[in-house]
Amino acid sequence: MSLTRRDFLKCVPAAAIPLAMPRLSFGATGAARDVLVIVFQRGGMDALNAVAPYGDADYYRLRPTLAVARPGSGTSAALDLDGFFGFNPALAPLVPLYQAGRLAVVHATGFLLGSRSHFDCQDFMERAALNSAGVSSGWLNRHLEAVGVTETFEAVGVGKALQLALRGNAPAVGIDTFAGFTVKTTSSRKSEVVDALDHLFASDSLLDVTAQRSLAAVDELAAANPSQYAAANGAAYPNTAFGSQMHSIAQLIKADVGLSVACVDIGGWDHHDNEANQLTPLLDELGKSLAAFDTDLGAAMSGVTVVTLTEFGRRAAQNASGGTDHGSGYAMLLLGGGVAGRNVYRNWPGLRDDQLFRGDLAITTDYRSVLSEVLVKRLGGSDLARVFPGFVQQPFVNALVAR
Amino acid sequence: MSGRRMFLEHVLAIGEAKGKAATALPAPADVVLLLNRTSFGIREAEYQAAVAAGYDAWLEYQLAYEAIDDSALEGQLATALPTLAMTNGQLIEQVRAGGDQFQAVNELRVATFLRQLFSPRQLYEVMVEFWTNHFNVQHIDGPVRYFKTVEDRELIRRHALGRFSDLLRGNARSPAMLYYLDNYSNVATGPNENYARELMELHTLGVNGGYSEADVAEVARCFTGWTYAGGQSGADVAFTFVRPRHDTGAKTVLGNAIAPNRGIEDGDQVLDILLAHPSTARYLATKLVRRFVDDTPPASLVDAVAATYTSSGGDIRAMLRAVFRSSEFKASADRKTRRPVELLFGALRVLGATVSGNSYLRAIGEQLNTLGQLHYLWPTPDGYPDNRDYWTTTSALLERFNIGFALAENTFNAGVRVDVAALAGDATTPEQLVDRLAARLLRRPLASADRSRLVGLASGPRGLGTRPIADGERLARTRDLVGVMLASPYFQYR
Repeated sequence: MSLTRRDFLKCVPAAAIPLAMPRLSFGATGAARDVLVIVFQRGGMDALNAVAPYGDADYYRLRPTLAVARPGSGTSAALDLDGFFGFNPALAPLVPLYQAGRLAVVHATGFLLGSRSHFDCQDFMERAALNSAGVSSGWLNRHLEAVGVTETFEAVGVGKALQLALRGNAPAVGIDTFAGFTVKTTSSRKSEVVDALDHLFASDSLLDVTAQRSLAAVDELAAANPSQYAAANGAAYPNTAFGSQMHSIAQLIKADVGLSVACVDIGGWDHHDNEANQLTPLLDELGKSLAAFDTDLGAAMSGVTVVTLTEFGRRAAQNASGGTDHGSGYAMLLLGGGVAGRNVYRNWPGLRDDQLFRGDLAITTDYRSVLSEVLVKRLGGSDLARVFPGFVQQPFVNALVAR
Repeated sequence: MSGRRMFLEHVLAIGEAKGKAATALPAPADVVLLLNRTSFGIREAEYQAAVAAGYDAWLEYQLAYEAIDDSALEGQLATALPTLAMTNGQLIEQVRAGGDQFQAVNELRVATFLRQLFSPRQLYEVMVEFWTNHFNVQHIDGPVRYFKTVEDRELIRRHALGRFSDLLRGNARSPAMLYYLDNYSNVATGPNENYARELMELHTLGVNGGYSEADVAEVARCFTGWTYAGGQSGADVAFTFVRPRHDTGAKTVLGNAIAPNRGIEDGDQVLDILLAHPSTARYLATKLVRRFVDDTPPASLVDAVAATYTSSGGDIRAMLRAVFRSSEFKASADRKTRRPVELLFGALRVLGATVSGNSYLRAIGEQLNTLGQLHYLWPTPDGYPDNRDYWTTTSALLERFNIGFALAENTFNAGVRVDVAALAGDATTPEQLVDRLAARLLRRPLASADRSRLVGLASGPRGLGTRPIADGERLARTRDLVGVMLASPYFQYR
């Protein structure tokens, strides 16, 4: 049997996952689903200074020089959200989205691992298989396996590497830049050259499979030409890697290539020292990028859900370097038309010494519960036991409305 | 184990769909494998010398790097790149006097490009890269942009093939690391855990090496007061211990009592505990085996290399001998994939590319940045990843393919020239051309189906059989073959 590259690509998931199909927990296959965008803040965002619990007096005891001031106390004060929490002023671009009900926060979330290692915690968050050391795939990849993948660009990791959450058996494409996603040769025999190369990658090794997937995807992306879609509605993405990557995701959505899940990273959140000066520009970049994405997509945001993750929050008390060490609980942002916004969802554990978990903000909502809710309510369902093995589902916080 | 099983199912499904079972590529000779793993790519002259010397002798020659003359290259670097020889104080003073604050960064990066590309001490340069990555600092992080130059010269390059203990002790006192992991501001009144954690997780024990969160906090206390001083009016910047900032209480680290009322001895005792810890032996062995043998290190070889660490007192050369003389190494063909630097520099080296002017340095930097492995720019303390899955995404593979085409077509940069006609030599028929280029660029046998495919590409749609390629076509067909061969799995593997 001889298959073209395009046929090959499409046959992979069907051949690889037939056993998964009967176990799906949703009804109609092919039901309309949101596009899910996962933003990973590498390094451990300080949730207590991003979404500050200014209503908790212990916050100011623990962070005498680092805390965000109470709302109304000057230009560097928190921007009030609900009478208890306030955004860091650098997140000002997100306030209108919050007020409009398209943005929500889930606070004191995360997962109890007992490790404060960046690399352990990122690995665990993205595999989301806490007690299943044998599971090497990412949670999003298992979701894709469960629902089946039919489009080349259904799952895209934006950046120089494919995020671990997307790695696994289901085909996922990495895109750094659209311009680079091509075979550049001036040969008069280009098609024969590409064809020969395709055949040299004909074994079943992972390298060969990925190479053939790359060659197959080139023409399809060129035909869709996502670069043709300029930012709309006056959206202004920051001129940063993350800003342009969010723009790229918006372009893929507009190009209608079948995108279902996208992963993107924003790094640099590991503020052990001099935190105030480092956190401000990063939050500014995050807020402006998410706001531009929302503006750019406009009405299409009714079918898009953006979720932010980070590997851990930071120690409740500041250190003597004007920074914070690795901690536990953190905050997720949810943005999209399906978000029950204008709310900071939490079961606030408090910041008294006896309420902290080893000196950290405790975790009262497992992040897998929130992701499960996203999959169930916005992605048309999944096989949650497979996506989050070993996780005993908890009641949803109901931060989303069902499609 | 379900993940493993699913993977196998996946593999079988693809094999069935393509009507082809999983097949390994014909393996290269042992000495080719050795050269590929201990260099940044095989240059013609070094290949001839290694084959003449034999496997063991070439390994020993490369390990005894001090005897290999690199004075021609180092002389050029010293003339062209003045910051390489400066102290921290001089580097800071130069910027204060109006100099470019990134000159030291740029010059160190250029020096590293050129050493990796042209130094005859290839294994040494490979190990400099290994330890640079092991003790990763991000070059653009504040004063690290000065301090890294000195750390590279005085610490990493001095001990890259020496003893691990010298590297670790020196690194704990290195202003570059003291700044990057914040220990410079680690004080008794509010300890900063950044260095303490990564010291155990990334430099010595490994994340599962047997330490607890309590150990992290205690080690942080042991290193309170370790900082650097200087930098004012030309004074050098150097490690110093500030006793008033030190936590003098009793501590317990990995079950060892640290006596109270001491000073700098606390940190040194921690380093001794870590250097002697079996988890450190295992962690370093695993990392070396992953670097040189297999993304999934064979346990038998990790055991052997860890035992060598312990018996030799952390002698890096002894550990490398244990790696390269092992049966596991010689059976590891195609178990490693070139990372971006190895791919780009490997292509330049096998092609015998010549460089001129300065613009090619920028082109190399931009290419490596696009691929995500520009030297000294990895942001987190774990260093650049060393596994295939990270580096070979769909888009990364396309970028990698395009390197081969750009070099073959001489479109990479005006300062980089590949003599395509010389590569073709006197080969005239498609078969001759394929065999000659495979021998020169890949240095390994091709599977017969792959050879036929390449011969077909060179032959063209009408087929030439054993007839020669027309003179007017030969360069173009050589370029096609060079590009495809460098993009092929034969070259993507290391």
